[in-house]
Amino acid sequence: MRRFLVVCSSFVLIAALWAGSVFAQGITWWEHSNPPHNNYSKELVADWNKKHPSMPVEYEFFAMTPYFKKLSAALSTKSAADMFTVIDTLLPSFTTKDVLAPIRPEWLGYKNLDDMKKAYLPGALDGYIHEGKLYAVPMIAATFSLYLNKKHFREAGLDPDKDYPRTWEDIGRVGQKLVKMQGTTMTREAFDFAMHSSAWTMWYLEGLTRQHGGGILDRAGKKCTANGEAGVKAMQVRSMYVHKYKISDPTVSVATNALPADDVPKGRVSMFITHAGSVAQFGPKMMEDIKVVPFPQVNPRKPVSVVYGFALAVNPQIPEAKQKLVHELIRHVVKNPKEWYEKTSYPYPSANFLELPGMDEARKTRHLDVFIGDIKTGTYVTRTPFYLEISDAMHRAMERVVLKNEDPKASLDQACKEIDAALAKP
Amino acid sequence: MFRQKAGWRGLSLQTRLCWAGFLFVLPALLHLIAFKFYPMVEAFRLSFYTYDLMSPPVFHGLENYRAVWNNPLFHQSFWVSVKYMFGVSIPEWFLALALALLLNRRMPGRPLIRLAYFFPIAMSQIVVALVWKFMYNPLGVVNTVLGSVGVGRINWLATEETALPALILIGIWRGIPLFGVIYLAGLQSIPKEYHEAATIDGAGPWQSFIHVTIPLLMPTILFVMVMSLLSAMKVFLNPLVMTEGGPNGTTRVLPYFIYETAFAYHRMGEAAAASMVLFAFAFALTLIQLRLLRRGGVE
Repeated sequence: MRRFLVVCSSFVLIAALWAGSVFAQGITWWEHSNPPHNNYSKELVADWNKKHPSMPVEYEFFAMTPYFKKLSAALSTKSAADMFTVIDTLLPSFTTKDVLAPIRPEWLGYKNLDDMKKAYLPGALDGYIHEGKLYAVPMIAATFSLYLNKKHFREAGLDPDKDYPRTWEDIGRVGQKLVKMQGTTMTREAFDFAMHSSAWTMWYLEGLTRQHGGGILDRAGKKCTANGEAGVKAMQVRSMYVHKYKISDPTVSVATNALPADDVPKGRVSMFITHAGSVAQFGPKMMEDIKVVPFPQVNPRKPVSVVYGFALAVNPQIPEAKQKLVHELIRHVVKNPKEWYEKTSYPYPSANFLELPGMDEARKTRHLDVFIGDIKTGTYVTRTPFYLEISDAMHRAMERVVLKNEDPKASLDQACKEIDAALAKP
Repeated sequence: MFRQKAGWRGLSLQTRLCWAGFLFVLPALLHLIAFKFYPMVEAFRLSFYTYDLMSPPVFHGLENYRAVWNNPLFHQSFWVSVKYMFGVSIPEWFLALALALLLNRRMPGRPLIRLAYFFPIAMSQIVVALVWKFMYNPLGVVNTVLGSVGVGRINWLATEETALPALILIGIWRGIPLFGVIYLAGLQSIPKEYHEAATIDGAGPWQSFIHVTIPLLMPTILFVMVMSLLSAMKVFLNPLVMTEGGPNGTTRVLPYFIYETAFAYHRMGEAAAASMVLFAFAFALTLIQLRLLRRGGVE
C-alpha cells in the first residue's frame, strides 16, 4: 500500500511539474510585420500581461515573406509559437497537412460554428474553413480599393467626386488628363498597379479574371484556366495602361518601395489600388488629399472584388488546456473591433461593424463605407495548397506582358503550363 | 587512473603527438561533421524522398531528379547562375590583380588606400544589398548621375536586360577587394631578387611581369579562380533582397531556386536534388580548373 501511495504521489508530482513547466513558459505569439498593426498588438499584449501575470504573452513579429517560410519550417519541426498569424492564401497548405489546431467556437463564446458565422460578415470565415472545421479566427479582412489624389484631379480640371473612375476603361480615359510627361520621360503616372510581389499580382489578376467571368483554376482546382478568354482579357487590362493608354510606366512605380503604395504619398502616381491599411500608413495629413473609391469594375452593376485576410491560428502541439488559454487570448485580441480599426485602419469583419458606436464618423472621414462595400462584393482568392507556385507563375506572366509587351495569350499559356506541372506533382 | 597514465606513457612519442594533434583538431572536426558533412549526407538522402516539411518523408526513388530535370525554371536558373558566375568571376580575376599590382607599388597614403579598398567586404552583405537597391531605384543616385549626362531613366532591377548585369556589378565591386588582398599577399611573397635578376638580364616591366610575376603567382591565381567561381555560384542574398529572382526569373540563380523550391513551395526533396546538381557542377568545375592549371605547371 505504501509503495502504491509513493508511486501515485510521484506520478501526481511529475504531472504537476510537467503541467507547471508547460504553463510556466507563458504563451508565445508570432506575427508578420505591419507597423500600425504590430504597435496595436503590443498594446494588447501589455494589457493581457497586466491581467494575467502568471501567463504572460511573449510577442514577436517578422518581415512578411521570411515569416511565412519560418512558420512552415517551425511547424514541421514542432517549434512554432503557441499562437500565430496566418494569411488566408496559405491555409490550404497547412490544413491539408494537419499542422493547425481546429478552432473551438465554444471556447470563444459561441454555441457552434454556425453561431460564430452569424457574428461575422457573410463569407468572412470561409477562407479559414476546411472540411467543415474552422482553423483560424480573422483579425484583418482586407480588400483593394482605388485611391485618388484629389489635388492632381483638380489640377487636371477634374472633379474627384464626380469624375472618379468606375470602370477599368474609365481609368484609361481619366488617366490621359492626369499623366505628366517631361519630353519622353513620364514624371507622374496617372495610374499604376503595384509590381513588387506575386501576392499583389494575384489579387489584382484574380479580381480582374473573375470580373470577366473566369477563374485561375477550374472548379476542381486541378487545371489552370487562366489562359481562357476571361484570363486573357484580364491580362490585357493589366497591361493596357502601359501599352495602350501610356499613362503608366513601370520605371516610375518601383518594385523597390518600402511599402507598395509609397508612390501615392510621394505624388508620383495619381491613382493606385491598395488596401485599407494604407490609410494608417499614409497618415491623416496625407489622407486629406486622398479620396478612396470602390475597386474598378468591368460592369459596375455587378461588382466583383477579392478579399484576403490574416487570422490567428493555434498550434496543435500544445496541450489542450493551453489551447483553451490561447482561445482566451484570441478573444482578448479581437474583443474591440472599433479600437482595432482606429489603431490599424483595417476593418474588422464582424457583422455589426458599421453599426458600432462612433463608426458614423469613420464612414464619413475614413472611407469605411467603401472598404466594407468592397469586402461585401469580394470572395477569397483561389484555395489550393499550390498557391505560391501559381501566384509566382502568374507574376512572371504579368512581367512578360507588362515589361516585354509579350502577347497575353502566349504568356498565359506558358503560365498555365507551369501551373499544371505544379498541380500534377504529389 | 594509474593504468591510464601507464598506457599513455607506454605510447611512443610519435603516437602521443599524433593523438595530441588529433585532439586539437577534434572540435573543428566535430563542427565540420555536424554542420557540413551531416547536412550534405542528409540532403543527398532527402533527394530520394518526397517531403513537404509537414508530412513524413516518402521514398520516391529518382523522381525528384526527373522533376528537376523536366522543370524549365531549373534550366533557366542554372543558366542564370552560369552567366552570373562567369560575369562576376572573370572581371574579378583581372581587376583584382590590377588592384593588387597598384597597391603593391610604393605610393603616399598606401595603407589608407588599402583600407578604403577593403571596405566593401567589411560591410554586412544585407546592408550592401539594401544600399545598392536604393542606388538602383529609378529615382536613385545611379540614374541621377546618368541623367546628368543625358542617359534616360532605367529601372535597373525591374528590366530583364539590366537586372542581372546590375547584380553582377555589385558582385564584382564586392569581390575585387577580397581577391585583391589575396593577390597582394601572393605578390609580396615573391622575392625581390627575382625581379632584380630579370632587370639585370634586360627584361622590361612587362616581360618581368609575364615571365616572373605570373608564373610565381600561379598558385594564388588558381586559388582566386576557384574561390571566385565557387563564391559566385553560391550567391543568394542579393537576388533575395534586391529582386526576389525577377523580373521573369532573370535573376533567379540556382541557390535562390533551391530556397524557393524548399521553403516557399515546400518541395524539400526536389530542392535537395537541385542542391546535388549544384554540388556536382561545382565539384566538376573545380576539378577541371585544377586539371587545366596542373597542365600549366602548377602543383
